Amino acid sequence: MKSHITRRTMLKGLGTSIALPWFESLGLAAPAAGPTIANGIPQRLAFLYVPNGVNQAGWYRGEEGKLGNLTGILEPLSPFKDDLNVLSGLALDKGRANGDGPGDHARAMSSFLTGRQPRKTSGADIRVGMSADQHVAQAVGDQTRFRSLELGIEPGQQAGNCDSGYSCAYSSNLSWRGESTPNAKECDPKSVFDRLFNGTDPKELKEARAKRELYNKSVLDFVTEDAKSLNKTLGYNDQNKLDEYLSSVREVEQRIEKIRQASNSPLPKPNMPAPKPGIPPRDAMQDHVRIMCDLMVLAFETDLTRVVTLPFANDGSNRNYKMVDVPDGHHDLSHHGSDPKKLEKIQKINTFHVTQLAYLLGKLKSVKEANGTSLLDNSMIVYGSGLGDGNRHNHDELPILLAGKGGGTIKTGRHIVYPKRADTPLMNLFLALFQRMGAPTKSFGDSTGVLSI
Amino acid sequence: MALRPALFVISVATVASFAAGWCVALAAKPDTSPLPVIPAVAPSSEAPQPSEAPQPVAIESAEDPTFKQKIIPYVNTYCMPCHNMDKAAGGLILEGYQNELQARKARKEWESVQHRILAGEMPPKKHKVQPTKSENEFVVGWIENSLTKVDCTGGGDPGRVTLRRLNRAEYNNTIRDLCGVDFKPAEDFPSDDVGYGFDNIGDVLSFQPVLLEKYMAAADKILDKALFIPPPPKKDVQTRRPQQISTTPREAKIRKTEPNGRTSNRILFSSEGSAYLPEQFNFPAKGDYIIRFRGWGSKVGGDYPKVVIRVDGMDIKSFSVDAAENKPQVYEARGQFAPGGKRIAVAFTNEFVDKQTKAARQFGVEYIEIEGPISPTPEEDSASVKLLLVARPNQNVSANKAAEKVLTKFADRAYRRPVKPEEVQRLMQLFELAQKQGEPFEKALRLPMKAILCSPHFLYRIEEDPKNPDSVRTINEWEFATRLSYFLWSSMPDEELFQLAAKGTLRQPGVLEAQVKRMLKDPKSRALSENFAGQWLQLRNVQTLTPDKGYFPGWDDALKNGMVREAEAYFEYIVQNDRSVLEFLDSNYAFLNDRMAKHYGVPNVTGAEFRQVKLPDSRRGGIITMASTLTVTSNPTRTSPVKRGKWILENILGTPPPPPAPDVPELPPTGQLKGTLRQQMEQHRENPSCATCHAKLDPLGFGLENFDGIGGWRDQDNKQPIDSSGVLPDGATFKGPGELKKVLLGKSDQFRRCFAEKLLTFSLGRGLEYYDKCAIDDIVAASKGNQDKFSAIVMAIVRSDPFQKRKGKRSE
Repeated sequence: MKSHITRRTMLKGLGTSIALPWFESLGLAAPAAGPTIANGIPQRLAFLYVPNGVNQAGWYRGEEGKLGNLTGILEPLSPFKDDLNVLSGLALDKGRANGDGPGDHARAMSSFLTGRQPRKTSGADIRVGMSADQHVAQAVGDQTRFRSLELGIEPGQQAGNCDSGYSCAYSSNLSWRGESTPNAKECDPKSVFDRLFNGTDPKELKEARAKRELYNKSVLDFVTEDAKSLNKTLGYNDQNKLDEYLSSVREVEQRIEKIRQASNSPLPKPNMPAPKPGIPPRDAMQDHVRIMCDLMVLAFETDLTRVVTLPFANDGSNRNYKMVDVPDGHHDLSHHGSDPKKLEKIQKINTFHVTQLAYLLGKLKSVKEANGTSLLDNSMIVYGSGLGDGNRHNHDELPILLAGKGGGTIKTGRHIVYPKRADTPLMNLFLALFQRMGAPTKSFGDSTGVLSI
Repeated sequence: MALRPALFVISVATVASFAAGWCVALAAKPDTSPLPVIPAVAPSSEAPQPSEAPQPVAIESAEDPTFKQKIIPYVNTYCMPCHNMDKAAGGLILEGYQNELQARKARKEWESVQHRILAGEMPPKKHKVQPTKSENEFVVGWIENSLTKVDCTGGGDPGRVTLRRLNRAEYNNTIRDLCGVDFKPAEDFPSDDVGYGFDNIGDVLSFQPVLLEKYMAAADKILDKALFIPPPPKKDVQTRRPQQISTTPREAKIRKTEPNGRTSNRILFSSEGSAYLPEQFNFPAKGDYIIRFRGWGSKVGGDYPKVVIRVDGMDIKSFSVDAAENKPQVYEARGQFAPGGKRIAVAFTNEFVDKQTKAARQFGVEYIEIEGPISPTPEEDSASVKLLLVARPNQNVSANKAAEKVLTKFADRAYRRPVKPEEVQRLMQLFELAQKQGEPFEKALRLPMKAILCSPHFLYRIEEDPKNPDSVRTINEWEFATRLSYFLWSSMPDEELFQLAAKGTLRQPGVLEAQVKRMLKDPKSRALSENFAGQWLQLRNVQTLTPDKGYFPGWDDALKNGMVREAEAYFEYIVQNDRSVLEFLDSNYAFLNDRMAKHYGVPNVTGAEFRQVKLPDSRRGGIITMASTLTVTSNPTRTSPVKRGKWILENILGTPPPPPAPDVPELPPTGQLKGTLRQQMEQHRENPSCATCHAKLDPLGFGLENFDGIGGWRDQDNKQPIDSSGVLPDGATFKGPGELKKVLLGKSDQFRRCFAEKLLTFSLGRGLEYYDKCAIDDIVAASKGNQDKFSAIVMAIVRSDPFQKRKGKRSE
C-alpha cells in the first residue's frame, strides 16, 4: 500500500503526459492495488451513453484550449465548465462497417466500450468483447461490494429485429461482462435500490443474518457442484453458457462474503427513500434518469461500487421526447437530411440529455469527501455517443465529454482536439482512465496508445 | 444407416477424391453404439482441414477452378462497380473472394446474389454492360449447386441448439405449473435480449450475477407463497361488557354516573328485546365455540325470563334464566361454526307484566363471552401445498423419508427428467442442515427446494450432446417432452407428458398427434399467442410506442391494449379451432370490442369484451390490416409505407429487403413537401440505387395508406385523396387493402414458407441455417396437404429432424 501512495503522490507532482509511460510500467509491476490516492479517497468511473449521434452544429464549436462559453447543446453544463473537458476528434473504428455492411447503430453501442468489431449475427455466437467498465471492475471490483453496476433507462426491444442482421443484444447493452455475455441492465430504480441495500438491515438479528448467510452459501455450493459436474458432459457452446452461470455464482458468493465481513462495521445507509417499484413511464424520462443518477451517486458515496454504466436509451431508439416538444421518433429524426427543422428537434433531444448529465454532475459536486474535495473531483464521467452524426452514421468526430478531475490527475476546463486525420481511437482515452483507476493495461480493443488528457 | 453413404455421394459430385476419403472413413468406423447416436460424418485424417469438420452438404475444396475462371470475372465485371469495399451497396460486398471456401463461409450473401439475379433485379438494367442470359444462368446454377444446395434424401444436419436458459415468460409459466402459484415472479427480472426476432434464442440468453440474485430472491418468494400453511388458530376467550353491547330497545341499556364520577352501564330488560354485539364477531376457523352470558332473571307470572342465544338470527339454545339478581349465573351454549363474521345476540323472548302488582318480568345481562375454537378442524391445504408436499411425517413415516419423497418428486418435475439418487442425497444434506438449525419440516424443505430453483438443471433446458461432436443424436423422450411443452406452452411438461415420456411412447404415431392436439386445445397454449404471436406480429412492441396525440387524437391506453388483445384473440382463435393459417392473410371476420369496433368503423358492437364479428367489407380481416400491425410500422407522427412494406416482406413473404445505405435522407415531416406522402416519396425516389428495393417496398406500403399511423381509416392525407393502388415488381396490380390482401393470398406458398420459418425458429430457439431447408420444405408440404391447418404445421415441426435431433457441433 505504501509504494502505491508514493506512486500517486509523485504522479501528482508531474506532468501527466510525461509521467504516464513510467506510471504504466509501475502500475503493471505493482499488485492489483486499489485506485486510492494519497488521502485514501477512491476513484470512480462512469460511462453515460446517448444514442443516434448529436446535432454536430450544436455541439462545442470553439477553439482548442481553455473552454469558452458553453452554448447550444452544452449550455446546461455551464456551471460545470471548470469540471470537464470536451474531447473532439475521437473515433470508433470498430463501429464502422469494415466489410460487415449496414448496422451502424448496433455497432456504435456494442463497440463503444469494447473497441471491438461485433460479430454480425442475429443470435448464433454473439461476440464483441469485454467492455472497458468490466475491465476496471475485474481489476478493482473486489474492493467494493459490487464490482460494477449496470443501470438503464430503456429496456431492450422485446420483439422483431433491431438493426440490420445484428441481434438486439448489441444495440441494447453497453456493458459486456465477457466477449459473448452482455451485462443485463437494470431499468427499475427500486430493484437497484433493493440490490444495493439488501442484506444490510441493521435491525436484523445477528443469528437470523448468520442463518440466512449459511443458507445462501449452502445453496450456492450446491448449484456450483451441479454446474461443475454438468460442464463435463456438455459441448463447447453449452460450456460457455455454463461458464457465465458459474462466474455469476462466484461473484455472488464473494459478495455474500463481503457483506459478512462488513457486518461488524457500520453499514452504509441510504440517504434517500426507496423508489417506487416498477419502471417509470416513458413520459417521466427525466425523473427516471435522475433517480438513476441519484442511485449512482449514492453507490459511489457509500463506496458500494466504483464503476457504473448508464445508457440513456438503446441505440437506434425511436422514442419521442414530448417533454421537450419533440413528438417525433428520435431515430426517425436523426436521419435529418440537413432539414433545419429536424436538426432543431435533434438539438432539443441532445440538450435534454445533457441537462440530465448536468444534474448528475451537480449531485456529484455537492457530495464532500473526507478530505474536503468533492465526489466529482474524484470521479471520471465519460459521456458520449458511438455515432457522430445520426444522418451520416459516421463513427468519427464523436461527441465525447469527460467530467471530473480523476483525483486531481486531470486538468479540466479545456477543449482537447485530436486531429481528425489521426482517427484517434476512443479506446486510447479509456487506457488513460484505466491507469487512474488502478487497472492499467497495455492495450484495449483497438487502442494504439494512452491518450494524453 | 443405409442412407448415409448415399448422402455423401450426392453432395460430393464435384470433388470425388475427398468424397472417397470420407466414405472410407465412414465405412471403417463400425457403428457399435447402442444409443440412438448416429455419426453423421466421422472426421478423417484425409479431410483437408481437420479443424473444420466436413459437412454432409458442403464440399471442401481448396482449388476449384470454376470459381476463379467463371465466377470472379462475372463478379468483377457486373457487380464490383457497386459492391466493392467502399460503396458496399445494399450492405453487400463481393470484393476480396479468392476461392470457393471463402464464398461458402458467406453463404447467405451468395444466396442473396443468387436470388437477385434470378429475380432480374441485378445487375441493374441501367448498367451499360449486361451479362448474357447464359452467363446469369451459369452463376445462379453454380451458387445453387456448390454453395447452397442441400440434399434432403438422407438424414440431413439437424443443427444444434445451444443450452437455453428459461426466459422471463417461460420462468413465470414454469413456476406456475411447478409450484402452483401464479404471480409472475420474473416481472422484475432484466429483459431478455432478442435474436432472430425472438427472446428464446439459446445463444442470446445470457447469465449475469444480477440474474442469479433475482433467481435466489424469487425462489424465496415463491416458496413462501407455495408452502404457506396457515397456523392453526389459537383458542381465545373474548368477553364483551355492557358498554360494548348494544340493545333493542335502547332503553334496556342504562348509563349511570357512580358517586366516584365514573359512568357505569348495565343492561336490564323489562320488555322483550335483545342484547347484541354491535359488530359481527369473527370466527377465525371452523370448529366448536362456546357462547355464554352471565345474567339473572325475576320470576313474575310463574315463569322466569326465557332467553335465547342467537347466531345470525338462528336460535342456538334457549334458557330459563333462574338466577337471582344478587347471584347471577353463567348460561352457555356450544356449537360448531364455520369461519367468518357472524351476528351474536342474546334475546329475551317472554315479557310479562303482572296486572296487579305492575311488576315486570326482568332479565339482566352482565357480559357476553365467546370462547373458541375449541377443537378446530384443520383447514384444507392450499393447491400448492397439496402439489408440493406429497408426503408428511407421521407415526409411520420419518421426517427424512417424507422429505426424500417430497424432494424426489419436486426435483423430477423441476429438472424435467428423473432425478438421480446422488442428486437426492445432496438435496437431503441441505434438508438436514436446515433441520439442525431447528427448522420444522416444511421450513426445512425450503432450503433444498430453493437450491433446486437456482440449479442449472432447472434454469437451463439441458440436452445431452453426442459424444462425438460431429455425430447426431436423437434427443430422449424427456428432452422431447420438454421441447414440446416449451414450444406450445412456454412451460414445463405436465403429468401426462411426463408419463408418456417415462413409458417411452410419446413419439408413437397417434400418441404424438393426440398430444399435440390436446396441448393446442389446452388454455396453456395461450402462451403461443403471447410469446410467438407477440413477437412475430411485434405486439410486444406496441406497449412501448408513443404515437403523438396531436396527430392522432384517438390514441389512448384503451386503444393500445385493445389492438394487442384483438391480434391475440385472432391468433388464439386460429390455434384453438385449428383453422387454416392462410386466414392470417385475409378473412371476413375480426375479434373486436366496442373500442376497436369504433376505431374500425364497424357498427353494432357494444361492450368491452372481444367477440368474433363479421366484417362489412374487405378493408379489414387478417393480420396485415390490424391496428397493431399498422401502428407498429408507423412513426410517432406519420405513417411509414416503407416500414409497412418491409414488415410484409419480413413477416408475410419472408423476403426481407437489404437495409438501406447510410446517408440517405428520410422524409421531412408532412407539410414541408407538397402532396400526399406517396407523392413526396415518389419525388424522393430519384436515387436509382434506392429504386430496386423501394420498387418492392413502397407499393406494399402504399396499398395500406388508407390506414393512418394508428390504424384508423382515412380517405385523405394532407388534404389530398389517397391513392392506394400499386404495382409489384412481378406485375401484380391492386387497388386498396382488400385487393392487396388478395394479391398476397396469391403468394401463399411464400407465406407458408415464411410462417414455417418463424414458427420453427421459435420452436427450436435458434436461428435457421441453410441446411434447415429440408425441414422447411417438409413443413410447407404438410401445410399444403392438410388445408393449412395450424396443427398440421405444428405436427410437421415436431416431427422434423431439427426438432427431434441434435448435432454435437454447429456446422459453419
